[in-house]
Amino acid sequence: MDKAEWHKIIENDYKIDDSADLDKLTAEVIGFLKSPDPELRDTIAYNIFARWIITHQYYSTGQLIRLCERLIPMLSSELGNYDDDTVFGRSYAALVLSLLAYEEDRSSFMSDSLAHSLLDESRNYLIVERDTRAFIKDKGWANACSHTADLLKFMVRSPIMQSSDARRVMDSIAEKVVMRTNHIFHHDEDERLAQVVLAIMDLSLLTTYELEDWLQHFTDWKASHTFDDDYKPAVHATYQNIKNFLRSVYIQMQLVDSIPIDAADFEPMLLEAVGEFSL
Amino acid sequence: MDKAFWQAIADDDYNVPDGYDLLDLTDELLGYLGNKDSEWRDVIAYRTLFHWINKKKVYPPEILRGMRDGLMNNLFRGLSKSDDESVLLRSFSALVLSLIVYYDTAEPFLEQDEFDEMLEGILRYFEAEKDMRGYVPDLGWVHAIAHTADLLKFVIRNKKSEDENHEYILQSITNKLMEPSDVIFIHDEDERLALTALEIVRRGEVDFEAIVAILHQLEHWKKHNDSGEFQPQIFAAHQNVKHFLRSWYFQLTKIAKDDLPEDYREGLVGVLERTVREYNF
Repeated sequence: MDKAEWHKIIENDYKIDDSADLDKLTAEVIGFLKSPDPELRDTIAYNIFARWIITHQYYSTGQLIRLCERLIPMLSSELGNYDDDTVFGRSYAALVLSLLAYEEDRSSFMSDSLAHSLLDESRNYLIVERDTRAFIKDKGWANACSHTADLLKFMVRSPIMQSSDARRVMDSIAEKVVMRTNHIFHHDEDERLAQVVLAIMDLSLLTTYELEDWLQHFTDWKASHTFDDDYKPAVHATYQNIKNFLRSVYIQMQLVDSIPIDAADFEPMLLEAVGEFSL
Repeated sequence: MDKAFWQAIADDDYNVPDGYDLLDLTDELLGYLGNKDSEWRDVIAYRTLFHWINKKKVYPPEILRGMRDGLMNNLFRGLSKSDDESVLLRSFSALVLSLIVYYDTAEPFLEQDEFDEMLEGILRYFEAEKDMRGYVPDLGWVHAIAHTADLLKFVIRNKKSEDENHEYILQSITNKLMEPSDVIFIHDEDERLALTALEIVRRGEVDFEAIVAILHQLEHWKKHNDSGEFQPQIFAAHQNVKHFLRSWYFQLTKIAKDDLPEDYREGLVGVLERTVREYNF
């Protein structure tokens, strides 16, 4: 279908006739996720999936599972490339998977093995994606880190989550934040990663001790780097990312209505760490 | 003089070398403040002037007064140009002005009207400065906003600075933060502006209501700019305000815990938390 036909669907509150071939249309929209054209990828494909998966609930359990199975391999398609258009397919697969993870929270359509595999693939994608661009002129959002954070935020609510999974997700987030990079989180990546941490805290799967232990990812990084007059951009970028991330976690903890007791006991330790990354 | 000459002075604990005219050497140093080579500008000119003005106190008041006049003029040089380098002279002149203000705090020599006129000029410059870059490869530190933040902090610490100024300074800071910008502050500008704001509340002379009113402006600005479309320059300003608010919040909850009256501090953290919440993701 051409853009005009898709816009007709959008104007019709994203609804399609009963006679329409949903699987065929879905395959076409999946193709749009790789497009450098933000109208196809974002305005049409993302919005269509948000309505069809969540608002209109067009998909059967089998179709939702097949959608996951189509999208998960896209996360690793040409993974390792950077600053080219291949990021769109990976990042928008993560974004649509976040819709599916959100739907999973409501209708539990995933088998345990599918949920585990999605969780593992998401963590892997967070760490291995090298294309850090957020907003690209003329091409719109790439935003892989934020999309993956959103995916993890919904996945950690899954009933499969055990303490060991929670620790692994927390460690992956820390690994991402302390990664050597020239890219500073400018487009709320820090906030969205912090939301995953808040979602995990909400599960009460981790003890205060484990949370304190997790902070060492950041304090160890600080201890192993020197900050003198000799300006090193990559060290500085990581410093800023850690600083902004820890602040985001702390601020978000202040702003939620209640936090579990283990996290509340952790709060002063976090504030200490924030202090280490302040002037 | 060549770099080795100045290195020898640094190695000699910044003693003024025999057989040279201090004022000639000073003019030469002031001439380096806009130099593209950060070694001339930062390592040689700034550090030598710091030692001579503040540590060795080699200058009598009339010389410092003349230096101040020249530096104040420098703040406005090239402001209308959108080139790469004119900012260096402005920024490093602001940095050296903070040395003179610091000197005056310890050894008062400026008349009240001179001080007021200087502050008025600094704020006029701060408003007009559009080059918000921090560190630039090839140029080194540019940092006009951080240097001006530091300068204003030293102004506030000076007894000649009067309380009605401070509300105005806080307003200038928040106006700067709300400016649509090509730059998201990543070189501690947010923290240094917040330290200046912290200095204002440490002096304790600004009406609580005035601070609340300024925070309301920030909240209003956020609501006003919350449109669906992504505009990079508005987004940058939004991030700058957010980071400033967080820095100020953390300073008030941690650093300044012991040097503000508890009920005043708690009241301030309370209203600040509301604005931080407004800027939360």
